[in-house]
Amino acid sequence: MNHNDYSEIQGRSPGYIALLALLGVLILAGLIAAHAMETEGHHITGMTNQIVWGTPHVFAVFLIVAASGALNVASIASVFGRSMYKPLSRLSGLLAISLLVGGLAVLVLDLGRPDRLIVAMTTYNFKSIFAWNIFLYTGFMVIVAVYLWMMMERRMNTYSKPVGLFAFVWRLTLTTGTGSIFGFLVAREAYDSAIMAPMFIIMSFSFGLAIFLLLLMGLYRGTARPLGDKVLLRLKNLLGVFVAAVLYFVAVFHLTNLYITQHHGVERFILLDGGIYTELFWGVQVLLGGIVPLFLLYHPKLGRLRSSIALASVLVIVGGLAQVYVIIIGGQAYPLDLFPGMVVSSSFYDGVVNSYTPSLPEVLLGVGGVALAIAMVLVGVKVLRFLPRSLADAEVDPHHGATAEATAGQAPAPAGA
Amino acid sequence: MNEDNNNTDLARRRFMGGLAAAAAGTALAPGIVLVATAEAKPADQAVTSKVRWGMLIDTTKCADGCDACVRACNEENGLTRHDDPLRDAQWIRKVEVENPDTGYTHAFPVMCQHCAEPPCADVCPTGASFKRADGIVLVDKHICIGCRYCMMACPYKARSFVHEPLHDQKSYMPRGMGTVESCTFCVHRVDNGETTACVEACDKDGHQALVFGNLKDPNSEIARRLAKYGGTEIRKDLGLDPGVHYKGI
Amino acid sequence: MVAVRSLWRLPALLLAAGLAATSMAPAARAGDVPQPVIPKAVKGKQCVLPTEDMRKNHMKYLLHHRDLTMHEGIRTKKFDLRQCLDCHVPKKPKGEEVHVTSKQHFCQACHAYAGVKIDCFQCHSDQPSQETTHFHTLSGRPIGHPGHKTVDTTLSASDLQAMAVEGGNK
Repeated sequence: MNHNDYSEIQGRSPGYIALLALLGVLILAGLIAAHAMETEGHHITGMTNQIVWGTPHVFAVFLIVAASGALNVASIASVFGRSMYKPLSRLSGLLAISLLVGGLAVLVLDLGRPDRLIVAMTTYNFKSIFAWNIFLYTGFMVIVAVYLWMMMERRMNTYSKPVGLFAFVWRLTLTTGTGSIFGFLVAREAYDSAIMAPMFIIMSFSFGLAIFLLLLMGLYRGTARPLGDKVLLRLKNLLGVFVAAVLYFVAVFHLTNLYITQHHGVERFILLDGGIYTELFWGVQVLLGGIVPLFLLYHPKLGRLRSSIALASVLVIVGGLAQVYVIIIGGQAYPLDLFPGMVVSSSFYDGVVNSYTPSLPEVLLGVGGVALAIAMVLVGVKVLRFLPRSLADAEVDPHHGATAEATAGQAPAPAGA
Repeated sequence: MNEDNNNTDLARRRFMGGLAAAAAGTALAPGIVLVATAEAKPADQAVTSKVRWGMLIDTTKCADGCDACVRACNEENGLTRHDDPLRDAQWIRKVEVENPDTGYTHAFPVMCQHCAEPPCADVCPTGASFKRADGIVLVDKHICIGCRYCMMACPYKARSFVHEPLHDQKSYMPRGMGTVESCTFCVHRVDNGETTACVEACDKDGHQALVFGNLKDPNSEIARRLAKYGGTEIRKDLGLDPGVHYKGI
Repeated sequence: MVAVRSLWRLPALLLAAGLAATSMAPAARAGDVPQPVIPKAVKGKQCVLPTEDMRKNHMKYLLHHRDLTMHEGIRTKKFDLRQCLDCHVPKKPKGEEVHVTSKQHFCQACHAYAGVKIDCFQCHSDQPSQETTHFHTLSGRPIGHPGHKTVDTTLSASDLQAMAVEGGNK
């Protein structure tokens, strides 16, 4: 594909304007919430001295994890040489940067002293994984921007493979760093495990691809550009693999913990009697976010329906949010074990399960970050040539022509939908 | 004869006086030694690792229902109470521990343990959470960005976050909204040669369950008591080498 | 391309008009902002350094000193924020204090004029210093009161001896 095979979207339809306006309102609401938190203090949120990281962190971690996963599609093309995915690389890069910016915005605005961001970017304690993450996150944005340039500037196309490889390694390091934020915490029983980093990597594959799929289908439907089944079916099968892999990692994590008698308390809490956390774990994370999407994606008939694929993607995202919620907030709700084996109580909530309710400012801030990410993608595809004009089967894979896949009852992309 | 008698009387009285003085001195001396604290270091001298501040808490002397140390800390550091136990700063707290197998219950204070290997300092992205050369773990609020990662990392739940704008802070204990704080071993007093507020209050109330001093000085009260009676640490298995030791848990 | 040229003409004209208007404004424009009224210090004749030096560099001195205090426990008085406040802010009874929110506070008087936000007083008290709380021993004497380097609780041995001899003389 050459440069002319990509084009900006028109971006003048009432639907597009309305969507941008809605996103604008959500972003504004998020900013107002952040401002209120900065002037009034965090007492207006549901976060306390017991649950110190709340809904904003759930959204921020989800967005950051998904950001690194969104780059996967581009990596498959550049690093693993699957040329069929090449046309999708630009959108993949744009989505990666947008999700990361959205997540970082939420994280930074939730700080107790966001006015000290300059301090955070100039004073470092390199024993802290947080400090490394600041470099990894900002570096990621620069590297993906360069990667996009390599892909979009014809003279630079030869460099897109090495830069793509570098970006791939970088994003693996970034996700390892994000998982290690939790994995390095020796104090908390729910986290202190080496599996957190690889589990976050596989989560990123799953969440990133689900968002990418959803966005792809939405953009092509909204702009009436052809989106062939070949691309879609390959991607949805890949999503199924990633969802299964996440379930595997979760299973291994909990099974191992169940062998460790010391961890029985926290395992019992998450898996059995943690109330909302148990419900979220089994009902949303495992069932809605894992088993149901697997069924939808691999079912012989349902797996070929676009509505089914879209639903599966949405469920994976919801399940992912629940997973991050259980990890971050469930992990804090379970009390610290200062005196193993003893029954402890105090005026500082020792020995009791800590309660937490998401508050409006937190939710507005988190949703504002999501809105920012989506808005960035929508504006990006209008301003620059990120979207291929056509992803019809013939364009994407001209050598295969009419294969068995084409006869298996695929629904052709509707024109002018 | 009378003169002789008078001289003997005088000598005897002087001798009795001397004996009384010696006895009184001997009786008082331990009291003076016990109460004496270290001389304040000169203001222009940096702290060194020749000193390591620590605390010994004798839980057998900690009285049930007494919270003198907690009240003293709150007053000394200006920790305003908003009747919001979830968000109010609590630098020291009384913890009640019950052994479910035996039914034995006791209570004692827990505060920042001033670890030699503090996880809070390890995870702080800007280095605001740090350990001073003399072992006191502090938050440099000038560079604290309020990310609360140290609160996630502390195994003792020692830290509090300031959730509201503050006014009327004590001039010797700055604290502000959006930063994290914890027990400072009353560093403003220690640098001045005094002891911590909680230790003072416990002494004043007559329990004397808390001892503060230099762990590296073999002649200090805390070092001698630890050498003689031993002490345990909370979550010793984590290998953090806390500066706060307990007797009786 | 005539259309392009005429399109830029209007903004250019407006810009030129605006510039002319501001340059023709009376010189007294700059003086419309009142000079700050800096409260006189309540103690001492002179600051620790000459006024011009302090005006220009006080932030550097403070920033350096705070790191020394925080990380090394150096508590010399020269650039100690509390010393500044002790001299420059009057001690007032509760309810009448001058806080940094008003321009009558020494720091805010200049900072409001210069348009520089002060970060210090989110954490630091903006009032002259207080003493730490004192818990009195049974003898009634505070332990380790600042200025008393060593500690004495009650009467010393020589006092008792003197008293014993006195009693013996009666």
